[in-house]
Amino acid sequence: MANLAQHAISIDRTVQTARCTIRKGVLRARLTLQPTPVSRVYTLNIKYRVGGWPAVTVVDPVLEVLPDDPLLPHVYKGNVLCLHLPNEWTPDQLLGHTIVPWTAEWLMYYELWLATDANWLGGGHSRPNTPRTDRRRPGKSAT
Amino acid sequence: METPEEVISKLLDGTVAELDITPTMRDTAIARYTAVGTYLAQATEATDKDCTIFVQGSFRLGTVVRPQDEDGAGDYDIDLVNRYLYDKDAVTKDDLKATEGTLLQDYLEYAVDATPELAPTELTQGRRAWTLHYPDMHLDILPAIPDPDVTPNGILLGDRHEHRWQHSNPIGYGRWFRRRSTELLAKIAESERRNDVHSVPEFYIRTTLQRIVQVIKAHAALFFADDPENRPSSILLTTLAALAYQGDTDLFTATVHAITHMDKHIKKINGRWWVENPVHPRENFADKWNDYPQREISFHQWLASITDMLRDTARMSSPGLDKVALRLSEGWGTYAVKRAVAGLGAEMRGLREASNLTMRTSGLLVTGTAGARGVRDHTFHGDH
Repeated sequence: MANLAQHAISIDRTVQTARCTIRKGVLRARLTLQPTPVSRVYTLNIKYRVGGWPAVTVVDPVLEVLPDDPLLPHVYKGNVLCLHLPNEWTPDQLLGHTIVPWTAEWLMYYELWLATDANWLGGGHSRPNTPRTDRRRPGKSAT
Repeated sequence: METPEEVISKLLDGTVAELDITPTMRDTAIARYTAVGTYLAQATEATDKDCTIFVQGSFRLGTVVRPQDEDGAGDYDIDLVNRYLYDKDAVTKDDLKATEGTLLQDYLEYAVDATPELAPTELTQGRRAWTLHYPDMHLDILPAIPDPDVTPNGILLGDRHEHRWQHSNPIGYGRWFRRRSTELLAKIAESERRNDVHSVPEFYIRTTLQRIVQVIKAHAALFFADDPENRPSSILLTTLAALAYQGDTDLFTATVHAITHMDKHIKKINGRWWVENPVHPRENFADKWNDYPQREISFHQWLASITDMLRDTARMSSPGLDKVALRLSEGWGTYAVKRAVAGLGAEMRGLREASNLTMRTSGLLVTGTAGARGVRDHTFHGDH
């Protein structure tokens, strides 16, 4: 299993603007990503502690929604981005090589979702009403 | 995609591809007009005036743009010539048109029984051509005779509103058009080699020049949607674009270059606007501007509009793909641009699934499999 410092280094190396801190067992990273040459430049927070799931949120700009639906696509409560199925990430996989590029993709598909009136072109599916806290901890085998 | 211009190129390409004729519809059109041609050739063989059907216009050049409205794209319009071997002095325009109408009516009645899957549903008459209607397309068939002054390919055709025979040379024009693009010549040659055939028509190929013409025509179609009288003719736009084209293969760059340089090819000779038909020097594609000055004014207003739109879009600063798409929709229509966006999304997803997507340190997603920053496959998930 990778430790927080290794995760932090992986983020630093992967993203030019990343700034990571580790305090009291929590890794916090702030970074910017621009997934296509015409995309917005998004500022993101990543928060991760050993034994938990990494949580990515968009700090800036405020994410727009579509006129007929107040909800963003593929997010958890608190607009934490949902980037993978439970068995697709384990704590030995460095955040910089997984969560970060998946976030860039999420942001691109978000812009395409806005452009096509709610067509999510990135694949995937929804599981309604699944609070994150109820799900298995990472690293356990998935059903 | 590394630059905003490349993104816009991709979206423009996807937009006009949506309005283009699909290979399936192309082959259906060919089957339908071949059936008409075969019947008419047989019917006229005995008379010694036997006729030959060939395509002209945007289908021939590979620059088809379907009309579109809010609900989507409309039917295809395929332009054809039916050339009868009459001498100019041996037939009047009205007789030629009447002969054509009779033959096509015979064909329609025959086909409905004999070949229902290829049969048209209706025959109507227009100013110059007869139109055969099908569920998803029209074939506009123009009756013509050889032009003795322009051999071997020149033709003469009639027009209800014109006293004299009108000159045209679609075959010659097609040859001129292909020579304006080395990319097109190269792709034709490659296709001939690969398929081991003597000649491949332009309409099987798509290149930057053809796409530029489609981008321009599609924009003009929307710009003049409520003002069809002043809309520049397809042949005028095609000729100016082909004259201005310099060989770029990036669609955005090439389109901006073409529209910026179109004016160089619009002449004023003895006070009259003049855009010469490259294969018939006495024909002036801007002739109507001299009779209707508003049309020249409208053309330049349109040219300024498309120029501003493309320049503004490229200059938007990190606006978001959705905002770029919205801006392009103003010029090219919501339906077609949305389809282009969907195509872009599918392409990016395909890259990831093929392990051919990488993220740069700015977050930029590009093709490539560069080691650790390759984007691994994953499934978006979540509560909504």
